[in-house]
Amino acid sequence: MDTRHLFDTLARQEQPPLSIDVNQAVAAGRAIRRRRRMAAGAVSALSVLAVTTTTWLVLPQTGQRDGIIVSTPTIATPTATTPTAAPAQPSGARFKRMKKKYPPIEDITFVPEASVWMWLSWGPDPGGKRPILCGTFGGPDGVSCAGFPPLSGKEFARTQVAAAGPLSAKQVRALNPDATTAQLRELIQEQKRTNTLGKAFFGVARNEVHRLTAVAPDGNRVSGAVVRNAGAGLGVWAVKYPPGFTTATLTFTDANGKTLQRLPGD
Amino acid sequence: MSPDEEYTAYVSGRLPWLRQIAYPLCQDWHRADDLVQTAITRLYVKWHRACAADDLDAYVRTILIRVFLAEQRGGWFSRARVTPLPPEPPVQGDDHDLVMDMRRALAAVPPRQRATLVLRFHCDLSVEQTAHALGCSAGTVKSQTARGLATLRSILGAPDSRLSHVEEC
Repeated sequence: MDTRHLFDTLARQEQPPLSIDVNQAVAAGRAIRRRRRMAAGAVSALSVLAVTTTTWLVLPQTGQRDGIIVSTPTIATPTATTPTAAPAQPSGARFKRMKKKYPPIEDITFVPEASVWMWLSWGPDPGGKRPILCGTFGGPDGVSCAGFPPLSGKEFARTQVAAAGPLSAKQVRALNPDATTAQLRELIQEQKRTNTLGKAFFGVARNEVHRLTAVAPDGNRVSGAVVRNAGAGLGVWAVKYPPGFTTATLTFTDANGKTLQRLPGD
Repeated sequence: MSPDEEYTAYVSGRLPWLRQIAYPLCQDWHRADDLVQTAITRLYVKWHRACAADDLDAYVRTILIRVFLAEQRGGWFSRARVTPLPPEPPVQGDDHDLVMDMRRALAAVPPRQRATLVLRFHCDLSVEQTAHALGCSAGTVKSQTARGLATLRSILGAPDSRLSHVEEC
């Protein structure tokens, strides 16, 4: 007799009736599957929550990235599906001179929505009392720097510059040297009416301001960009109108969407 | 045929076979039924994967062995009876003493060695197949087999008679 025979004898000797229930196994198996699905769902939900929290905690504040502030649109625009890299700073002599004369308090901010570079400065005198906002569209128009009085108690934002809008009569004439006076007047009126070049505004705002929207009389909206903590306890903002968008009310809101101030955007 | 029907048809046909593997492992029909019940429940949970396996019987046998070993690790307090209490087995005659000796000897063999012996000599598996079922190397199967046989011989007290035909691995 070998081991195999011993096992056979063992299994053959006693065979009580079967007490195994297949239906019970099916029911128990279904319950296990259901519990595992619920656990997997819970784990997925927790993972999403953890990633969201980590992202919120780890990423820098809106607009601050590696030393250069790049604005992010306050409302996602349909075309802005990928982050916009900050272009190189303007290399013109005027820009460099103004940057040296009015050193930035914080980093220089680029707002891709309006293609404008902005910074706040205390001016040539480090102990200056009035902050100065400098801005440039990077083109041949150069850099404009202007000091401004502190925002009053009820003032959350202020328009500093409205630029890149309709060309001046001199510019229109330079572009159309053969046009008659009547034709030039008509061209100026036309480009004012249609905002062919795209009107743009920028200015300063308190750090409470999180969002800027330009609302046209017909209800159309354009999202602006707000960059907080740009220096001197203030942020900067900019908005550029698309062609055909000539006038609007600039609405500044806080993090909860509450309207803080409205400014004319003509 | 739906997956549930396939499962029910397969398990219903393989219950006696599974039971005969489970019994030498635990020497108790009640516990053997519990083992099989747990194993077929796990099989239901993994039924889609089991259907895709090359050898479904081997897949189920591996589940059964692993359920047994996991239960041994869990301790007696964690064992749960999942089937109704079966009636007492009939007491029967000719080889009753031999069966009693065999049960006593197997009970003295450690669980993993016992599982190795069952797979090797009751299920007629090769060393490699046993190693696959237990999740260990072929060398481990050989050593576990040798030690299990030595324990059986020492308890049955007939090293040169009953177990003389066993090929050492």
